[in-house]
Amino acid sequence: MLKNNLKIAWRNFIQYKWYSSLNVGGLAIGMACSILILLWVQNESSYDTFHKNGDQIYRLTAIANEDFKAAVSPAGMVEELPNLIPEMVSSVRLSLPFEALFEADGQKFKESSVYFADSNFLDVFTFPLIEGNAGNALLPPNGILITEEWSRKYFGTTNALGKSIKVDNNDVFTVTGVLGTIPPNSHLQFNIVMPMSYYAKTHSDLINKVWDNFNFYGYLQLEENAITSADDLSKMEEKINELYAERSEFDITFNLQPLKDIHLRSNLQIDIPGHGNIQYVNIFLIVAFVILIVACINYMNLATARSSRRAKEVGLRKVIGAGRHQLVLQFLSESLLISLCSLIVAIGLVYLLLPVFNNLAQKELIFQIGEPKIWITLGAIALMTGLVSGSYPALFLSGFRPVKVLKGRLKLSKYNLFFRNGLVVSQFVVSVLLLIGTLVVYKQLNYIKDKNLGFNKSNLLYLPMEGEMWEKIDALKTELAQNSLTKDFSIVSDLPANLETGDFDIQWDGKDPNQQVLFPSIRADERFLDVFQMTLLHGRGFTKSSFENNDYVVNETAAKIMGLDVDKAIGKSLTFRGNKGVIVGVVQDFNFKPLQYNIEPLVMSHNGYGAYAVIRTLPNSTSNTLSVLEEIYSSLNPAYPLVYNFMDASLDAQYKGEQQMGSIFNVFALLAIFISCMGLYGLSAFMVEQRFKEIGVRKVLGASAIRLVNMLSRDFMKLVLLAFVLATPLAWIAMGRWLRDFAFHIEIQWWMFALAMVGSLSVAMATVSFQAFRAARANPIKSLRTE
Amino acid sequence: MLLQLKNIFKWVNSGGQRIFLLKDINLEVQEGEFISVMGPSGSGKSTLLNVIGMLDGFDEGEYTFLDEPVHSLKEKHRANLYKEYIGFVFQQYHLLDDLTVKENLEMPLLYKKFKGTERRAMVADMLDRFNIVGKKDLFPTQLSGGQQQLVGIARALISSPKLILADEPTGNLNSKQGEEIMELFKELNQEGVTIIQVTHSEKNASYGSRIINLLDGRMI
Repeated sequence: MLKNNLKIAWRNFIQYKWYSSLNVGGLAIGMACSILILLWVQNESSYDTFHKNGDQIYRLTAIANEDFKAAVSPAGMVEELPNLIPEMVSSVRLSLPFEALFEADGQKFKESSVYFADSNFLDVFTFPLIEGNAGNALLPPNGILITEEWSRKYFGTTNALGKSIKVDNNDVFTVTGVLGTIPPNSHLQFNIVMPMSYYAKTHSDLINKVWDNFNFYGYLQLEENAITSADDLSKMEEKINELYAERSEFDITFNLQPLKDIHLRSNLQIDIPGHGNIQYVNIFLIVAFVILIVACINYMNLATARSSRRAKEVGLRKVIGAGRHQLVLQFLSESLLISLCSLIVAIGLVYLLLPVFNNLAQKELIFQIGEPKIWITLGAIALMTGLVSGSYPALFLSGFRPVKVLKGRLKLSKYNLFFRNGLVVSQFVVSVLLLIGTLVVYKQLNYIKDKNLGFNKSNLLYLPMEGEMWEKIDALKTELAQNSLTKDFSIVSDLPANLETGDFDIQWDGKDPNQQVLFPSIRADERFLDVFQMTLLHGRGFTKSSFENNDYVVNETAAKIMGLDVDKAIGKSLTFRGNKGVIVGVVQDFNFKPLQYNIEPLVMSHNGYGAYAVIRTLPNSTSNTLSVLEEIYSSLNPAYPLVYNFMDASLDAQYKGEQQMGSIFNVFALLAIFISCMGLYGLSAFMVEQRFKEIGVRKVLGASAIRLVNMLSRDFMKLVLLAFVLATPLAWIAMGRWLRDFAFHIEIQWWMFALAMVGSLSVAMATVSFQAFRAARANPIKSLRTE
Repeated sequence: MLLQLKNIFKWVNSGGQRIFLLKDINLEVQEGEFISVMGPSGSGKSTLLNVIGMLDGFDEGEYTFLDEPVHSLKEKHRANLYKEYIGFVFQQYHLLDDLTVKENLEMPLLYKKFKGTERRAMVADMLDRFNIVGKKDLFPTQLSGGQQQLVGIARALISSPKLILADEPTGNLNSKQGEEIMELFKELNQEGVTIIQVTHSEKNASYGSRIINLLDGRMI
């Protein structure tokens, strides 16, 4: 029976090549999309699953208030917690990632993402060593861990134990271990790890074991069954918070963040960059599913549209003795065959498109067909697609009454038409939704790019201070000031890009003693406001003597929080970090964090020293300016290569995740529309076929081609319009939600909907009228003769 | 007695009026009969045949087939009954174009769950009996009308039904082909198969043992 069914299915497949290729094409594209998305989702949700103790590791995170949650915790606290709480096995601290200059075998190179880590780093995390001893690799203060790739690149071998590496032209470290490749699905990405004991020589947090400075990432390993429920977790957090309250006057709440949640469920500040977003994972999962459904709808539509052709066969089989379930089986085996063929094509497509997709998603996904897990997933996709897409035609076709269909042409019922129209509408609802989504994302990304941040970000370049530069800042200032190309410069402690500072230690007259507000701060020199072209609302900027006078410049928000009018803030006293001074100026609010965050109160104090030199270049003289800088830099700091960045590029880079999502979204929106149109194309072809005679008669009676095209397209256009009406509120809600994640966002506007409507209508129109034109231009004699 | 129709009525409502397709039909058919149903177009011949074949229902009356009360049987039960005992032959042959002659013959057996070896034996038997062994791998469109109808009859016969219902079996054939088909029916009837055929031709009707005349849904 099955063999027979398959044979018939195969003959049908071959005989109606055009129809089959529409079906297979649509399903294959849908499947390929789903497979790609699933690969991506699988990768995103596999982060940090390779750690042996993964389930017992938690990261200690600090919450200052609703607006400020940070991934960092105090060094002393993390170190002492395991002694205070018996369920804690151990703790590991990691410094914030930093950049340093390394020298190995006579070659010098910059390496970013370098960490200091406690000596039990390799006990807690599972990063296997291929050389060295995990137990003591990070014990000596002059040990250093490097990865396999790094070792190969700079030593030409992985056998690098005992080799020397000079760091920042200063201390020499000895390789004590070579790590295997760091899995790409680790939230910690590094090439070099240095021992915390080295850092502890100089860092005051470590020396004093402080509990009130937040500068380290703290990971805690708990006992195996210490936490089995959400209740256990909150009890543990409570315990930690109690301990903290005893030790510190700050009102900070701590959370334990499971290791495996860090990649997708972290929206903390001062976090290791490169996070995913669970929201995007969910959105894409839905998109994958929806695209597959859209493809299935295609199949259903085409199959039911073709039903008049197959009705005779059904009737006959019934007369001969087929039961309904046998017919259902037959049609299902047909759809399964189609879906299997589609799967094969889809696999080919995935292989073909994976490099492009990887490029788009900035991933290194691999599609390993040999894995049983992949096989099961693919099989499930094919089975699901086959069953879903085959179910309606199977039930519908097998329900025909034999007498009716054998007597002549089958008239399709109103219900059937209604159902099919419903399917077309739902396809276009999806397409319009994705289209509007694409537009909104695009506009928001553009908005981010072009938003006036409160300072002029173009033509700004900055150099980080490195090596000898710190001591030679005065010399640098003199040199920069002498050249007309570089004289417009400022020295700052932090860039207004993703400010990571924050202090509670601030007092002003009339402050409520219980009020705890976090004030980010920037230290800058007297040229800061000019170089960044910020707007001073009242008062003045810093002068040469501002440092001694403890002058402060605050932003509008800060003035508001202090309860001061912008114009009355000048001259008011302010104590920041114990230094009492006065407010000399109020600057208009500017964004110093990504646009997801609101503008917080900011305090700026004067300092002639800082981590960055920011230079405003003259228009069209960037390369000249750079060569001047190169000259200055190499004379002052010969050991280091000149490293510079453009402010606007660095700011844009903060939205990489959003941009990636935007472009992936784009592609899938286009594909959804394409698949829908394939279905529409097939459907219109069948409509035209069914109305062939009518078209002939109308033509003989004098209808023009345009009139006929209009007649044939009108019904479809109504469906697309209806889809648009249904999709509009959905898109409004969904995109509104997405935009709410940005403190600064565009408003959804009517023209976005209008554009989506015009877009989908014209694509659908083009698809349908192609068929309609063909029919309208055919010789009417042909259609009339066939009856 | 093979089947009995008692006071069968069938109607459709059209524009508030009741139009009778069958009116008070009373008919008894014994096993081994060869009945020809005659009458002008629209007199209800095909409707009667469809009612007998249980492909179509009726609105009033009783229908007993092999002592089973068809009028009170469930759809599924009724389908089983006609699958088992009735074979259909159509004017337009109604062979499946996608299947070869052999596969067309095999189809009813597939639905009755015969084993592969049995099926092959039965198909071979039928091909042999109708002298179409050479055509077994051809598709219906490659055959002449007479040959197609031959396959149609072979298909109706393959599961050895008690009753064959033929709706103008020679309607699309030329006179020579038609004659051959009628001879075949006669032979089958002599072997014991009950046949009810609808026909327009007096000559074909004369092959039968009894003629029923219909006019406007009534037996006359």
